[in-house]
Amino acid sequence: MQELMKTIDSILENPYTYLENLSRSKPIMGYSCTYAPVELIYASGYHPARIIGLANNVSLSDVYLQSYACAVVRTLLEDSLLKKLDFLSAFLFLHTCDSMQRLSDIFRINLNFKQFDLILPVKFSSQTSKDYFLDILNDFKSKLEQDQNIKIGIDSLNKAIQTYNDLKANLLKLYNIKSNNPEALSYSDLSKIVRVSFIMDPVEFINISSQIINKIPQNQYQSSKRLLIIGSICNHSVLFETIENKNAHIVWDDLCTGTRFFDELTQIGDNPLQSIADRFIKRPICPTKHINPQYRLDYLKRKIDEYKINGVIFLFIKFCEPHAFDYPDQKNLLEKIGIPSIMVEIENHNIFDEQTRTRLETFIEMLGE
Amino acid sequence: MENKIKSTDKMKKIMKKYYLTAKYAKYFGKKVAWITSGGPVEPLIAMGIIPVYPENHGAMIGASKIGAKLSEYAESLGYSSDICSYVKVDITSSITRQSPIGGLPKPDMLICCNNICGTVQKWYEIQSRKFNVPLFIYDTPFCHVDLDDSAKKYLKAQTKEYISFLESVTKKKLDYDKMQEVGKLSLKAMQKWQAVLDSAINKPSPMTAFDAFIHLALIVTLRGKKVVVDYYETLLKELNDRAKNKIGAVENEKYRLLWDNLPIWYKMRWLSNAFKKHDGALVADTYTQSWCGVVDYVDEERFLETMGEAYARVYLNIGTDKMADSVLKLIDKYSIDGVVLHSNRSCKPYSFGQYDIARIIQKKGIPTLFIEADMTDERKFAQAQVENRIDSFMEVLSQIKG
Ligand code: SF4
Ligand code: SF4
Repeated sequence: MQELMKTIDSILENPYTYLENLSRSKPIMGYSCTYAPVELIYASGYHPARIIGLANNVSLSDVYLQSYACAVVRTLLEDSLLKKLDFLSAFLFLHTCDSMQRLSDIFRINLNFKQFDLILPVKFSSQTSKDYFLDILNDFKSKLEQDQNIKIGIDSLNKAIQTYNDLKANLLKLYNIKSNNPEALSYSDLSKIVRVSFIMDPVEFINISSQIINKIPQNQYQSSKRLLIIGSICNHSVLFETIENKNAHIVWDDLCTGTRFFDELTQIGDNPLQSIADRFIKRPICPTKHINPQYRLDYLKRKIDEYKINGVIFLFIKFCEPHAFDYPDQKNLLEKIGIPSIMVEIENHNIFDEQTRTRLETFIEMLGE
Repeated sequence: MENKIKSTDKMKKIMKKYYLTAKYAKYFGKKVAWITSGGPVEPLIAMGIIPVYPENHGAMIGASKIGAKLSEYAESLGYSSDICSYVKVDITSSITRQSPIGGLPKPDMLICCNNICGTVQKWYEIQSRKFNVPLFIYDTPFCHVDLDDSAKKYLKAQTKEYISFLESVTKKKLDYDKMQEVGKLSLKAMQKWQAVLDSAINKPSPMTAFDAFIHLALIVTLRGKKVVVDYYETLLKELNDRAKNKIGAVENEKYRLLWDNLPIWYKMRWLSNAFKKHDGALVADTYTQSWCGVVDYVDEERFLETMGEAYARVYLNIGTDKMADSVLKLIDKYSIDGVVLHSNRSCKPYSFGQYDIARIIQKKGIPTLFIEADMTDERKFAQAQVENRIDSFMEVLSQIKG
């Protein structure tokens, strides 16, 4: 297990090197968020790689973006300006928040990427938006076919769906193991496994994650401090360690770097594009999408019951509006049902300060034994 | 704002009457819909539903200088200091009823069109939970470069969906003849509004962007009603008279400036004076143009069919480079010497990309000035700093233009 984690660590320490190597055998399409139809991209011959910026210091971006843009868009831009993403053959922007949307413009105007935009519907609830979803997937498919000079048939799409279903199923298995047996693996490792799945060749990832699943000790242990984390992107291993060192366990999450990526599998069938669209509508939605006004609250409540959660940690990136808007009502709901919560705001998604550590530790102590 | 435009009083009366009708809608047996400022309001008017605009209300709150106080209250409820202050002041005033008009009337339904931002979706979800009323989202796909056929089809389909929504909430059928009439009036109002703004082509300009910000209220709130067309006709006549008699809004107009982004509602007079001091007149802006910029996309005879596409093409729903193109056109049209860009903490879709727009403008030899602020939250405004920046900018302009 340790060996396997070492491999994962080394990829995550330098994801761009891994991708650069991979780019020698396959063109790579970077994408901005979990709404990317990875199966379709994969079937077109591209390797889909989710790019989460790495830069710790943002300075070149200041020429293009005000300081009140979130760290996710700023670091993504910074890495591109530093030419660290030159191994990409293309970049796909998904219509999510206002900031991402403008970042797409900034890329198009200032950088030399082959760029695609998938303008997703905002609501997933009506028949019109479902039809539109299918239409734009079809449009995207045609663009990819033209770009790669191939035809993407039903079989190759289904094959890609199967591959990504296997990848997602493994992630789901790991989350289930964690939730049933919180000590079996740390959330910090779990989160790394999810993040490496954004980067790695999917077949290679399925192989390594299957080995991990087989190696995890299955001794039962019950924790009384079962936590749920909510937010967008989080890759703070130190933060997770701080929490779990205090004898508490993060047994589930509602993150784009977590369950929102892999929950729900895609149906194999005669109309794979329809299946892909259906899956996006069925999987947990992020706050930039709409099913009904209660959705995010109902979802939170359901997860608390399902995973017997004792406390919730909101982990927000500063200036991230979609999550910030949901927060007060979510917090009120938790108060009503008697679940303690804490909100941690991170200025830069790679930096975690002492004060935050202390607040978190106090919160966990407060949860009692 | 000096050299006062006389018609303004008439507009104030119209607005007062409108708000009174909205407040007492129930007594008139009418339903109230809250709608976003750039939303497709015409079907509401055709169905006799009274539209109410939280953003317009937010502007009123900002202008009366209580934006910071109301934002703070929302922050105490857990709303982040970084989110749009229109949302915060609306949330507060819907709880405490604080505002120049004692809060907005309660909605029977919410209509949210995301052609201005993603913020409104979250905002209307919050209010839909609070008031427990139905929410309709009119989803306008973003138009980075152009709208593709799928998007156009989606927009058309949603217009139908929107009408069924209204019919089911009101339990009434839409009268299509009435709809046609409202569509025509709406289009006419947009044309008149354009003519009003175009009066600023005159030198000196008979009006400034500050006047436009005030007179905008009608095209936003009552578009589709005859009263708007009539009012803008009166206003236009006054402006044309002023132009003929060379009465400028700024007495010694020497430098003609363009404003980008929302106004800073609580600093209008101060800003107007800060530029006037240097003989600068803000004669045009990108914000008020939004309510007439897409007029060419609307077909008077096929209003419902063409409405969606026009709404999807508004200024905030297009790519940054396209926005820059519009700015360049305005620079030409209004003979602009310099551009003032309000980098607005509240409004990310308006503000991100502005650095690129500024670079594109500068390449054409037009100087730019950035002002950091927020449209309603006074806490984000550093007066001394802004004053210094304006002074040095105007000095640069005077060196260029002499
Ligand atoms: S972190 Fe929030 S604001 Fe930033 S890109 Fe993601 S959703 Fe948008
Ligand atoms: S100010 Fe900007 S973010 Fe706020 S509601 Fe208006 S368009 Fe949206």
